[in-house]
Amino acid sequence: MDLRKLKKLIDLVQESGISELEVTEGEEKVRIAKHYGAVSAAPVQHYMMPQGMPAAAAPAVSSVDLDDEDDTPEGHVVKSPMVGTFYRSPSPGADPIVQVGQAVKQGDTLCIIEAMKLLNEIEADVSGVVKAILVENGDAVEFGEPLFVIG
Amino acid sequence: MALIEPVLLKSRLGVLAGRFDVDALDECDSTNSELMRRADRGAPSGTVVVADRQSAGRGRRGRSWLSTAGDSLTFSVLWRFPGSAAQLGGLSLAIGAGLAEALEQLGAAGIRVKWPNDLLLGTSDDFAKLAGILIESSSDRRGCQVIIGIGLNLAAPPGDFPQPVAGLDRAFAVLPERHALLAALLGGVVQALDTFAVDGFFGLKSKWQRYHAWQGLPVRVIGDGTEALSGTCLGVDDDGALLLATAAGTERIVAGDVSLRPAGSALGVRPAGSTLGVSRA
Repeated sequence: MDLRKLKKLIDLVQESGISELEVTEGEEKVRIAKHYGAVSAAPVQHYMMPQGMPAAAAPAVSSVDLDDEDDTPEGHVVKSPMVGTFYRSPSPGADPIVQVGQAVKQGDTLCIIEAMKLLNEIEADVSGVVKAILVENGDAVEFGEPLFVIG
Repeated sequence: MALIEPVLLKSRLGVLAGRFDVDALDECDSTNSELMRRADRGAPSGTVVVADRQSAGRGRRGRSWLSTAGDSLTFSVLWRFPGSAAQLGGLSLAIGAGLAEALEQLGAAGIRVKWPNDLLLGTSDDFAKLAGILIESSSDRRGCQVIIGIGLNLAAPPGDFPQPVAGLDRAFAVLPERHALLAALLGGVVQALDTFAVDGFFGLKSKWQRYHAWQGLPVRVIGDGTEALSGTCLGVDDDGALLLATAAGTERIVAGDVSLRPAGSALGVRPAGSTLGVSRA
């Protein structure tokens, strides 16, 4: 596994609400954990994050098989900051705020997530082109759920 | 000239005057939209826009909010919090509880809250909508900002509505003067925001439940595209989620456009384009 990919995975864990990520690619297996903890079986390489990270919201271990990654284009993943309902347009019947292929600037609104009548505008945290929209209009989304890929 | 005179309002606000910067307009598209433009230009936390008339007043998700100059009070408050939007859950309920308490302290009788964000007026046999709250938020690296829009009926608007509506004049023998009323409501908002900033919705949960119209009563929760849920309304969770005791166990209702009705009510009109987010507790 190349270093760039590892760096990306570490960033992914650092930015997310998850505390541990385990990735299997062919013979190689990498486990990234936010906190020092129990060490697992021998051929596993460990990449530890600095301590003092904010407490993880979801303590579950996620396993990702990189072979499945082909479905999702490479790029920056915009995640949901809250639990709620995902809306692509400001009101029913209105045009979606962004479409796949559209160029967006950092700070542009991408979608709205509603939770208990609080309408939260989700902004692009990077500039780029919307590569993928990962959830459907009206879907319930969880904290940390990937919404957009911007590349 | 606008119906609200900022200098007079300032004197009514007393010690709270320093926490708000109020601008009164004859008319704007919507106080939330106007305030959002001002926020983009750097307006400080505590900026308030109050308008006599809104040409494009908005309810949730593009529904229109109708108001006439003398018979309603429409205003929006800009507030900034450090931290992320994840902690804003339950803010609309918190504001509702703050407004209900402020109105009660002014002497209003029969004020109730409805999950998640309406103020109701209890009448002899039913509840009628008195006010609506619409909160729009956005966040960046510095923190998050919220624009809290409040529309309150002072007198019941004429015409037919899908649900009963009422004016605040029915909650008082004599309706308080406009400036005194707005000052009291802003006081309720700031108190709710201060508590919320420290304890989140948890700090206002028992207050909210004290004003809850259907606490402990049988209700139906209607969402488009999902089965209506029937059960006993247990109140709200620490994060503001509605708790419903059903035959299948306790349901936590967190998101989506739900319509809450007392069981047996004929007012089962399904809102268009809505969803119901339900998770088991």
